Amino acid sequence: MINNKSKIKTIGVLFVFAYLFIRLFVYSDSVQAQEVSLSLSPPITELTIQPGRSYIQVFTLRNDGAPVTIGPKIFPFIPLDRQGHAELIEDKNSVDVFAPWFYFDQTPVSLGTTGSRDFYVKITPPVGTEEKDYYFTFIVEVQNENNLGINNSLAQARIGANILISVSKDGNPSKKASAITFSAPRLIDSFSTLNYKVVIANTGFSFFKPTGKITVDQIFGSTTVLNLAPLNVLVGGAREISCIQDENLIPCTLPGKFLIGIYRSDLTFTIDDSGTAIAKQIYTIAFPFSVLIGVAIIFIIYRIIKRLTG
Amino acid sequence: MSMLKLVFLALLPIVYCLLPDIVHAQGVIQSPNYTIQMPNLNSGAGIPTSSHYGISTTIGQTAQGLASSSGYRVKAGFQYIYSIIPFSFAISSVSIDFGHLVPQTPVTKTNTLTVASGGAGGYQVKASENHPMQVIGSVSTIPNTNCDTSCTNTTAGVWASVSKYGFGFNMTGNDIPADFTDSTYFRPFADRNNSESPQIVMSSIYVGRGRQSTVTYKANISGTQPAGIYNNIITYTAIPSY
Repeated sequence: MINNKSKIKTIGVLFVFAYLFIRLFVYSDSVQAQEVSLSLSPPITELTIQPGRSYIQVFTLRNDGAPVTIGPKIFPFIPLDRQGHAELIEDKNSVDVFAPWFYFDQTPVSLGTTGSRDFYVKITPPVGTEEKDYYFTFIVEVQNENNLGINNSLAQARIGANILISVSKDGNPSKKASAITFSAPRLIDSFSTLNYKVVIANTGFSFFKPTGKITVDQIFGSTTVLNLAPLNVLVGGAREISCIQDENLIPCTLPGKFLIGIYRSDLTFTIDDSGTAIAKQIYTIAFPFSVLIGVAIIFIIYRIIKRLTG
Repeated sequence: MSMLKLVFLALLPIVYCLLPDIVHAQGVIQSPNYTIQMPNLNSGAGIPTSSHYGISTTIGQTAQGLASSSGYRVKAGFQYIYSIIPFSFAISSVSIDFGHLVPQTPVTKTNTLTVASGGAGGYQVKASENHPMQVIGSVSTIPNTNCDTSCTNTTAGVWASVSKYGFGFNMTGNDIPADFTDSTYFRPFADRNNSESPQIVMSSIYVGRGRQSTVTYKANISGTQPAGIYNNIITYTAIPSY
């Protein structure tokens, strides 16, 4: 009797153990690598505002990764290079200087998968603010949990959107531009491509977009127009301007597989599509040098062979 | 009439019913107080709001979208390219777990960075660390790598020797710095604790969709490395071009 009871007990324990074992290794949820996937819109806000006035911009963040806790911040930035990249100024003093400009809820919030959150950022340059440009980046930062596991690094994601602010009492800040560089090779082989480099500098008091084109005239031939992309050029800086086609930014390159003759290229642009046009002109000669060299080499080889056999 | 023709004729009305209606682009939305030209608000964000002003925002249109009133003027979103694809950034795995480190046995782990800047022009992703891999509450660190001979935050170098210790990273894929010549080239992360500026690890001046790079993290310790649990935080900041 006692033996039977013991057997039943043992079988019961074994059954529970087997169930837990199977449950652990067969039915347990697969552990997914924690992915962070965020999107932020709009990517840029361009604001011209009087001192003391307010404007509210809504930034929408969407989470397509694992659930996260996020926190918003705003940092001033300066242009890093001529490519449109920003260098955030994250030191506390620089951030604190502009703290009275921005009002937004900085409380960290949790976002589930496919969740989204609107951040209302009220921008108010204080009365008496100097009339000039101020550049900022709105950043949403994932709040990391404590490190897990041993000897590990945690990857923290931050995503940003730029805010360009021109503080102006009359709404018409002075805008000035100069074309620092408009260049292309003077002499090219007919089988190479004709690439243009356009660098525009901002010598005024407010950011602007160049509106213009490169008109390429082949002497006694066709005319091709390359449209400049209206990229922002920030105060005190310069920007390399690419071209735009079908709403895609592309290098400013003359299309065509075989170029020959003299090409006259005219750069013309205005600031924000108004005012006097700024213009520059360059010439390029395209000639089939590679063909010429090839023919010359063949001729020399032919002469050598002829001399050796003769 | 053959059977095939009969079947064809029978199917015609069905095919006609399945054909979609011609879709007309919305031209203008108007009210007595405001006009939105070429409305394209399905990107769903960034609509300026104000209780006092009429707003007209064009997101991703070739036409200019300008909200103006007696106090400010605003444009939201790039006016010359579609903003339907928002600026997005993804990291495939946030935890880079090296496990137990054995002296002179380098361990590598990877994750993937993905950027879609369809709604912006170009973009940049910068990386930095809060400090070198360190035992919490201790001064023991796995130093940032100097590679086999030398490398810096901005210039990668070959790191293949098992007797060169430290922590660093390599990159492969789209829009990465040119100095990551191949998988043997590594850099240390910029150390914010040492006042070093975050460095660009991905960038482009063109619109990109699904631009992807793989980061390979490498840790190698010496026989004299103090025992402990080492960790740090690598911060990736993705920002669209202005």
